[in-house]
Amino acid sequence: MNSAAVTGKMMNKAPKKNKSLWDKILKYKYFYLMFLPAFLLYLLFTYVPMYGIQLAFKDLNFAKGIMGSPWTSMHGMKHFYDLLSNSEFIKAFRNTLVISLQRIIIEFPIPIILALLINEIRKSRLKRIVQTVFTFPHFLSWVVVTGIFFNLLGDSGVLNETIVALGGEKIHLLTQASTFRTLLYGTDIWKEAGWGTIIYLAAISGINTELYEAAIVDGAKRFQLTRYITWPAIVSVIGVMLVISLSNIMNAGFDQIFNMYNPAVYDKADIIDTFIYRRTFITGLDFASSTAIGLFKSVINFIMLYAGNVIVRKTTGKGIY
Amino acid sequence: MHISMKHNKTTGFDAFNSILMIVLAIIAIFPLYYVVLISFADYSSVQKQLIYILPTSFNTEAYKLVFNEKLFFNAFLVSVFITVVGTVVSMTFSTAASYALSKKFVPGQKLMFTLILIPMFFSGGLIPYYLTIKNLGLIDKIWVLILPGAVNSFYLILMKNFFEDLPASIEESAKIDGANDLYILYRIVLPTSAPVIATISLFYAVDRWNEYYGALLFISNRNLYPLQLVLREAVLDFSQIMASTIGAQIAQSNRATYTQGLQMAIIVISTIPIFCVYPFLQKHFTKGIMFGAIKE
Repeated sequence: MNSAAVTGKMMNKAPKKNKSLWDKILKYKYFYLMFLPAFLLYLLFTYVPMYGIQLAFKDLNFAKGIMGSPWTSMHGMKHFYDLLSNSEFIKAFRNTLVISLQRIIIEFPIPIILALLINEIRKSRLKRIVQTVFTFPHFLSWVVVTGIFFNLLGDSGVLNETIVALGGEKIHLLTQASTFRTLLYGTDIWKEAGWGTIIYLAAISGINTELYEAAIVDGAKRFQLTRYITWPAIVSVIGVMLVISLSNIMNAGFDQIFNMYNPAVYDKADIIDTFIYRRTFITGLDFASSTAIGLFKSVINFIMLYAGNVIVRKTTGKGIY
Repeated sequence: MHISMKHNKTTGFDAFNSILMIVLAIIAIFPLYYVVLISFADYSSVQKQLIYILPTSFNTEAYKLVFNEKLFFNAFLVSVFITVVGTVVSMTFSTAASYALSKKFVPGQKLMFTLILIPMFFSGGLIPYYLTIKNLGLIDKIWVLILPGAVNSFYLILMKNFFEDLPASIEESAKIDGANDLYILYRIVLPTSAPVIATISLFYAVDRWNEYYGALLFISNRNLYPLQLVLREAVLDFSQIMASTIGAQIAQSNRATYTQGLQMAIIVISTIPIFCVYPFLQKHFTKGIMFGAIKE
């Protein structure tokens, strides 16, 4: 609702008062005051950095600052051309895409299935316990989760102890490129699947119970209740979650990978964000070209958000905006 | 769900589902159990046994070492500080902002909402962010661990949705008495919003408690390291910890180092605060999330 429409409505209601916009702003001054501190934080820590994106088209000169630095050659596009011929960047880009898509295929459906199964638990006490257990790991940091699984799956962890006891050879899951992605997906499921069910369970709890009762009277079986009442109620939520996943396609889970990966698995696990981090803070290369990678990433995410929303809106009739 | 009571027989599916859920819950708990187990294990017993999976020894050596370590104790205090102060700052700003956003009749509300929505999908990226923090003079200041993450768009939207659903009648009666909007928010609206306040406070508190990345980027003074960053060093690069005083302690105690035991003790200590608060708030946050999420 824009302010003109609001004013218009008000005028219809009380034509005599004929309040101007300014009067209304004064009337609601406390609301602006409430928003102000948060606004200042957004300005400083989100919008000012956005202004710094122009660095992606410049050669950074520390003495002159971002503003004073000169534009690069090739109409400011030099950093982008350089990237396309950087094989390490191409590898990180490919890994990011593959990991994100595999996460959508493997990880995305799990909270949905889990929510449907939890919903079918009849004993409310078991239901509560199970939910508590599944949700808890979400609140642990990736630093902690990494520590936990390095301990469990490391060379002297219980997994390898068991394998050796059974007469097998130790497996080096943490430094083995071929299985590293499986480790990523498995630990992410452990940490986040339970948390992911909450939004679906919330949608299910919003269903009018009369629908179920009427269906039972009509002789519906339990599977039919799920198929024809529960499922339609969560489809739009699934759509929204899918759009959000797609809009993160260039992120691929930095926090997790950054803590878990090591040089032995760079080939399979180095993603754009870890690549930017190392390039900027470890090997200490050019800030400007790293900004260009960041921009490249944001733009693709944004396109995916838009495209995903169009598709989901077409199929489920409801998008996120 | 009470509906299924209507179908009164326990079917084969129910038995299967219950067993499946219990098995999954055990799998989910096992890694946590193993952490506690190893943190209290005696090194020699672990080495003697083929598979160490039951608590057959008890040793608090690792905890003693960790607690005597100055770096660690200091980091614990830093984390407590940023969690407490950070949550208070976050909640003060967030309740106010989200309450304002919930008033659709305020001119410019849509613009304000767009301003908090954009950062969810677009950001300047790491380098411009880093340079901004640097220009603000926040490098090596404890506030860098509090202010940049003090307001979170996702949480703001959850709270806004909650406030939108509050019955307008409570506010109207106060307004007739001549109370201003700030008074109404803090004296009338917030006291009736316990579920959402508890939920969002927990989210902010956990975010602060788990903070390590901001510290990794912006803090080089080891006295200002939060717990998670020290833990990260202990997990990924144990030699770093050995180089500090804890190494001398171990050398003095003249025992074989049980690296894993130490790491797990740190993990247990850094997880206990979350573990203690979580069960009390869990009921609230499921409710709080539902209030916020159901809408749309």
